Amino acid sequence: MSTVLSVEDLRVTFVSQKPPVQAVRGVSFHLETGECLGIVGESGSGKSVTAWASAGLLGADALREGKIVLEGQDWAELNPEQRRSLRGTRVAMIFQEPSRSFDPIVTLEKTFWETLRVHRPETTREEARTRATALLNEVHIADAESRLGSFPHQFSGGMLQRVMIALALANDPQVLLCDEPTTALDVTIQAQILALLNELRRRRGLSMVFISHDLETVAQVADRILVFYGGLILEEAPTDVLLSRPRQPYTRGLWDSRVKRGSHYSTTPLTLIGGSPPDPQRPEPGCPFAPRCPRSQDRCQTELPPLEGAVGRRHRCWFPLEEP
Amino acid sequence: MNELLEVTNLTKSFQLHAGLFAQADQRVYALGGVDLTLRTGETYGLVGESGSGKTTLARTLVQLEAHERGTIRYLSSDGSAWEVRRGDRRNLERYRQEVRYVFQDPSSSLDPRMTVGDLLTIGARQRTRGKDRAGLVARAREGLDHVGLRASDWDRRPSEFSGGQRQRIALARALVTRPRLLICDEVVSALDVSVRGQILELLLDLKNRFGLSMVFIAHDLDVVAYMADRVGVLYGGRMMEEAPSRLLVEKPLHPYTKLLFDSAPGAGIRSRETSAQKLTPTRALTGCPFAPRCPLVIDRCRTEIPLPRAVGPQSGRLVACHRVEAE
Repeated sequence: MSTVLSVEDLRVTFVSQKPPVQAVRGVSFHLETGECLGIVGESGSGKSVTAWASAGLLGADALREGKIVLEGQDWAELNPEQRRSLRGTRVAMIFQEPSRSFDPIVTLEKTFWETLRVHRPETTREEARTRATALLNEVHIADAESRLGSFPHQFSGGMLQRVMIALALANDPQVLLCDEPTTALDVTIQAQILALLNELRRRRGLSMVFISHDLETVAQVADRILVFYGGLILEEAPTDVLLSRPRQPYTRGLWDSRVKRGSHYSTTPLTLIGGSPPDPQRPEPGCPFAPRCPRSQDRCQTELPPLEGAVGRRHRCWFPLEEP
Repeated sequence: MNELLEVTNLTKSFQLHAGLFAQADQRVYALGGVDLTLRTGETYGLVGESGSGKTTLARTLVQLEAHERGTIRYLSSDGSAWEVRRGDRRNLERYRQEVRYVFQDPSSSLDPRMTVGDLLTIGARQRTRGKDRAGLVARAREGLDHVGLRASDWDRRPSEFSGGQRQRIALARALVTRPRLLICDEVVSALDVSVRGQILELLLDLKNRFGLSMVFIAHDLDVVAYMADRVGVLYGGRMMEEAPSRLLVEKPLHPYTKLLFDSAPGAGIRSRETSAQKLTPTRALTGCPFAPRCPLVIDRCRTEIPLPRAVGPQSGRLVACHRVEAE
């Protein structure tokens, strides 16, 4: 296996607010060819900002440090023109709430045509139609050709997410970044989209980063999972290892606090994590989870533990849970 | 009568287009005749996807929307029962104190310019026209304590709180009128995963402490099954299945309930549907709303609306499906 995306000591700070928002505070990871890497975290944990940075999409108010290398090319060393040519052909991204990602007054046909022409300006309208039809078929949109004249509002949320996936794949990228792609959707539609992503991944050999706040959802698609909290990675492990033998108390808490199938208030009490997530404008000097952690001691409050362990199995904790 | 609320044949539709280009006969049928009974002290769970009518049902229960057909009968605290209607202002005012609605997103249901103290008391202050101010403030302060906020939070504004704390403020506001029934519409959906459990536990605590009845609405079937004594499953504005929570989890009978359980992220089962779409009924239905997606569909499902009927002796389960055998 080779590495398609590597992120080294990424730090992102949004300076337009006072005090500045320290969204990502030193994150390193890599994505292997054909792998699906899951990122789980709550709002403000830095998971989306990391993905945006990986696609070179951060705006001018974001102060970025660290290194992001996509297929051997460092984003920082590229000029805007070169970055543009990478987006779409090497890396593509899909987002939450697909309806917001479309221009409401442009038909699908035109949207596809524009997307294809970014990288091949000579694409004719006819070629674009043929290509769009094939892509829509690939994401299982029935009657694809006749739907090319439709506007975004004529599709349901789930259908629109399929269209967005088709658009993301239009220029055959190798890496697909999925930022909460199922969050705004109903559960039955969510399951359909997850099944579709799995299918496309196999068929096209895509490398994927899948981001969600829901550990159970991430666990369904990811081979390996990063747990984000307070702008840092708290734990990294292969999916089954992470769920069965977590080392970081936060990971354990997150997994245990889900409402399990068949449990009922009259017999099973809820497992809780007390307190609330940290404020990215005022990060603690110690472990970001320390104020809420049941195992926390003095050292945790004052000193940030390092991310320890071998590649693929790391945790950041002074007093980790025992390996059973 | 032991029933706090008795809802029969509740029906509500909305005009699809408004304004100049409105097509007069295009209507969305949000509720197509729903029956529901809520017993005193019970938590009734409602699940369904967007467009299933669960929010319309909740909003109609508190008369934020007027219903077109059907009745809502309420057993009041003084033992008298009456029908909840828009025109009946005396009773409606009392009803709205005893039945409170808690919204999904506290960051949009709390006025950012008001202090917590004002948020908790302004509704009641207007209703009583300033009388008994001291009693009201005392009740509101008590409410803050009940939801786990500090007395010093009284003068702060919503922006100074996290999402979970804001939902606590919303709950304290609902408690001020000493309600008997809370209608909780997706109250944990907008919250972070690690905070969700805290609010669920708070709801259970409040329910115990004040003997509250509850209608608990969410799209997450596992959460609803955990919180509720009985669960109703809505699709296309109709009740597909209703059963005691445990029975429903052990053995879902309606094909739609099964699909919901199989689709939940925790189920680990991958979807077999490749691209079925949800349906928004824009015409009065002629058959089962789930028929276009149903794996067991037969001709009869498209032409005849299945009515809820009891399945199993004394199980308390109702199923609206032609393909489920009555035992």
